[in-house]
Amino acid sequence: MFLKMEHIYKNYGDILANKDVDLDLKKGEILALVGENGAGKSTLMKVLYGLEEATSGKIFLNGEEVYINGPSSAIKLGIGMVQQHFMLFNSFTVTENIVYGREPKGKLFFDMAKARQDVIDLGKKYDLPLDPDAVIEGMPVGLRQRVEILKVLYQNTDIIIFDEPTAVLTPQEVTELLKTMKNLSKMGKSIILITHKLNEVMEVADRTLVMRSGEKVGELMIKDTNIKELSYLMVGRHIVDKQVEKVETGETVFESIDLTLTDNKVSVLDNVNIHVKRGEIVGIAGVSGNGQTELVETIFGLKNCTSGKVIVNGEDVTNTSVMNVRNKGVALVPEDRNVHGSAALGTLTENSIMGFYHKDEFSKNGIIDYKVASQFTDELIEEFKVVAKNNKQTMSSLSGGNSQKLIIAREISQHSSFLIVSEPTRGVDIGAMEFIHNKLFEKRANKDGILLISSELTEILKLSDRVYVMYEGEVKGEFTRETANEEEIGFLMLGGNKDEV
Amino acid sequence: MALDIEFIAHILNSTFRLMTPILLVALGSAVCNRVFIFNIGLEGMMLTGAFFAIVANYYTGSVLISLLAAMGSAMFVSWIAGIFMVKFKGAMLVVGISVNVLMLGATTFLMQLFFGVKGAFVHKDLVSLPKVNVEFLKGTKFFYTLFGSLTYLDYFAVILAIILYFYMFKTVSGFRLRSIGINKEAANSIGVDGDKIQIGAIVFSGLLSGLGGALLSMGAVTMFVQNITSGRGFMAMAAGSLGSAHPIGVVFASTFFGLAQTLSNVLDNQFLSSELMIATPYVATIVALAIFNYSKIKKGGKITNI
Amino acid sequence: MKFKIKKMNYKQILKYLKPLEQPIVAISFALVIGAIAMLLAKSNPLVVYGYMLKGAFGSKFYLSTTLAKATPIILAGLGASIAWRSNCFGIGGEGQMIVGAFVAAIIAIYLPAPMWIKFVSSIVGGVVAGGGYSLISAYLFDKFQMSLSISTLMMNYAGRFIVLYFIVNFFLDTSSTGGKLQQTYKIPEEIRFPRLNEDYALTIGFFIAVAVVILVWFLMNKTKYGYESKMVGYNLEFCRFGGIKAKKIMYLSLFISGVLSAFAGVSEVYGTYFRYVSGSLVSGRSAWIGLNAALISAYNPIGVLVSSIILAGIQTGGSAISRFTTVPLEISQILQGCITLFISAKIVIKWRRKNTNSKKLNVKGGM
Repeated sequence: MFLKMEHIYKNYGDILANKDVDLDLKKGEILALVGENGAGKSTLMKVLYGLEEATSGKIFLNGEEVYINGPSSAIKLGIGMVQQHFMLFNSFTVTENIVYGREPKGKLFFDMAKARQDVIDLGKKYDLPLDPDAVIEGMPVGLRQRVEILKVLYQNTDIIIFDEPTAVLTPQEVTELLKTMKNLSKMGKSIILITHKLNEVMEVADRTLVMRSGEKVGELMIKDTNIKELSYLMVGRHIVDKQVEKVETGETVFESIDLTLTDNKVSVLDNVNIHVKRGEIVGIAGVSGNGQTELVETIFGLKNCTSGKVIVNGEDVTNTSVMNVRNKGVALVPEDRNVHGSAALGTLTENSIMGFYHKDEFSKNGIIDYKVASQFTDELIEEFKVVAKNNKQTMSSLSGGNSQKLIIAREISQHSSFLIVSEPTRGVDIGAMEFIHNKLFEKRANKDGILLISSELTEILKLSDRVYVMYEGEVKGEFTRETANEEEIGFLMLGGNKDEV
Repeated sequence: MALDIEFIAHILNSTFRLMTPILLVALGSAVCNRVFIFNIGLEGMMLTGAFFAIVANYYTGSVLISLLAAMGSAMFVSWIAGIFMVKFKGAMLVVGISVNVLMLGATTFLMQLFFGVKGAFVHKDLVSLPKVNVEFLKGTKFFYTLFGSLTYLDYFAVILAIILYFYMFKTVSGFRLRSIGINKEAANSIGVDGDKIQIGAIVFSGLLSGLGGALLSMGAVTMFVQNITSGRGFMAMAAGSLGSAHPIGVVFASTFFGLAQTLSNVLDNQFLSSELMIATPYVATIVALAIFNYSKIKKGGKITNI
Repeated sequence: MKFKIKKMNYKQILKYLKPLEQPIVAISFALVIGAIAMLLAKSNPLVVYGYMLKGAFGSKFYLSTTLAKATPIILAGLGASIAWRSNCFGIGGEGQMIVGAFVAAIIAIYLPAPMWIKFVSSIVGGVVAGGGYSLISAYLFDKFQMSLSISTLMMNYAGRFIVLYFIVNFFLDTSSTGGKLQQTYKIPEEIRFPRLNEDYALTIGFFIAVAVVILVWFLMNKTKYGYESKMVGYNLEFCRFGGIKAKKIMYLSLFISGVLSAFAGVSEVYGTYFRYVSGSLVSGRSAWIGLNAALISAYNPIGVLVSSIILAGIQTGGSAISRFTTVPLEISQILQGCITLFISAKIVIKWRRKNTNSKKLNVKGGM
């Protein structure tokens, strides 16, 4: 056995990200590491590449125990990583980027001629041609990734980790990359591929290791398995809650017509047609990074779509402004509460009036009535049982669950007819989760429409009256609470096709 | 005053002399810009060098020791500034402004302590930087004027720019230096220590500011005057930006500043307003940066703002 | 029972003092370094600090000098606060002061109109000119992404010399000193800021500045603009999701900031020099000291008022000690520089807190 990781544990505070994980890798093998978001795949690889230190566990290379305390020591041991976010110098040339850190040197000067030749040779050797003098800036993503791969190969690595390499690529580029991987493995390189796209796994990998909630839940040879089995292992058991009382739906509050967004020639949203009616919660199931974020941003006026329409309460709000969309009756709980949903250093009151501080209720003639705002905040705190001393403390002093509750309280407080909630319970404790779910049901009972985006399938299945499945910017399927079944949804959100079900 | 040939020699000579202190510091600013450091403290560091050059000069009478004192003192100040900026993550602007006020006060304070004078310190025992002997040119007046009363340090400044060019663009170490300003995170991911390089750059800019300061207090005149730099450190920052942090570009930019000062001195409002002349390089810096950024934005690139 | 109440009071007092923690620590550090400098000057620091306090606030005369000196510092400090709190890190206070003072002086001297019109249009013209000058840097940032610190630094010098050009060539006072001093004629006596007492330097300018402090406090803490600009400073992305137009806020903040800095210059023309004297605003360093005041007080207008008076006091106190002791008056600059240097470490704490937050987030977000 070439590489062996044994009994890896890794915890961040109370959260156990890796629980007794074993991994082994043969020479020239492609191992796919699959699992949902948060399953612990990236953490495991960060441990291997020295970006994180394992809480306990051992790593063996060629039978000898090794200690990896940083990327440079990983590189020395022949382990390289092609990161999801490219680590490139944009105004440098391809050559300069590839040789960085191990530059050929003459007596005094950087031997650019040799570097250039090395890069050309390297490209030939691995059949990855690149213009050595091209500047990264202006290069397509696929080629940038090629630079990253050559950069890793230049360091004489035997093990290459690919972290979600296809997320940003066009379909052609994906085909190209998969070919490259096979080629590399033929040349004796061992590859670990982190992904949740199962069709890619089926195509390229020799073996797969499935992770769920930090644990290894399966290890299978690709020739002995299929997408269905893998998706089942990945997603686990989720129970559709058929007990939820139905609310009679009213008119349509939101509708998207052929909504399309292309970014750098990559199709991010592809003719998305969805709608939400009063009195229903509509879930969007999907592995994150399949266009959900962009869908929300396009609806909410944060991003302009390439074509298509966004209709809110019968009015066309396509490509207008956030203020306009909000005023037309849309509210949003963004997916990242610290970055988009709150100001850490602002007081609770300041955080509670964002988005509607300009309404008559809160301000007149350009003056904000902080007495009203403060009272309003106290009401939110009370109604949503936010644990806080007073409304003057800063948002950063609240726990994750409590700040999320306050954000949701804020967005619900305006009784907007259409609410978008994105990852409403990410990183909050069970109590807060229950509470938030009940509040969403309450809003639904008030005959408002809710669009729920979540990468937690359990959450989607519990809350949604209808479910759309998104994969690579496309809506792959639609289910009602009655017809929803987790196996089928899991299958679709991992790249399966409806007719194969 | 007619535009005769000797007059031109005089202008060029003066331009050169006024340019070199700016050039030295501007090269330091350029190095800082390359590693994404906005070092507004150069003014204070230059002042430090100018002062301690005179202190060492007074006590030892040695030019070499004076220069070493200038460099050493300014490097010490810049090292402190570097620690505050890089390790403590202090806002670069705030640290730089503090260094400027602190050193403006400290140099004047210490001048009174060491020499018991206010405002300015001159002494007959102070030695100035040795001038390059041009007696052999006495025959041709043009060259005699052109190369007259220049110190070795003046020539060194230009040579240093050339050396720095080779360092930045031809050596591995210079390559890594430039990489930090482009993407520090990427450098760290390969195991290149970005913090260390940034502090190194700040200390190096301190060294050059010290030399630039010494050139002010021991060059054309040999004395220390309160606030002797009077904004030359800021001027050097402008020159560093105008020369887009490229050593050769910085030579031209500094020359522009030197020429503007010379013209404002000698023309004495005859052809051009001397005030507008002095203002020109600053306006030119803004315009040049605007054009540079605009073309970059057009190409779809990102501007890295400090 | 009694004990308990006491304890709570103690805690409450601590809570109120919390925002002062950083400046107090920084000032203490600076005082220690100042003391070392005084020891070097062979003086007893306690005695010197005593003189300093006396020289700054010890008599009506000293107090009035300190407050007069504080006036432009307060206004420039408010200007810097408005910009910096909304993440516009410009250092153009000096240039805006110069432009404002110059325009105000020229209008006051040359506008052929009744005194009160002269007065109003001079003040309004001056501050609007300063605001407009500041808008140039806003435009450069908006259209060319030119960093505010660079553009404003350049504009300080460009402004200084362009104004000098106008003075030397068009508005020079040739009467008194044969035109040797680069200054304009004096503004009419009727419209100058009146002094409270013939013998003291203090004019109503200081009280106007205090009124402006209250105005700015109101602007920052009660108005919609105040809320929006504060939030922009805290978290730009949050504002985007909340529908705030950050670009508009930037323009507005830089304009108001320029107006306030310019008013600092105008107050010098109306209360101190009664004319535009080239170089006086630069050598007075009020713009920079004002920026220091803003940093010390974390952009709180009341804090700006207090710290401006302290910083001005350090200056007047500094000149007092140089008269009574062997300690040079530059001790005041050493103290100032040290205070802000240590204040910059406050950003450390903030930054660290933010950083740990985002780290936690990353862990949860993408395991």
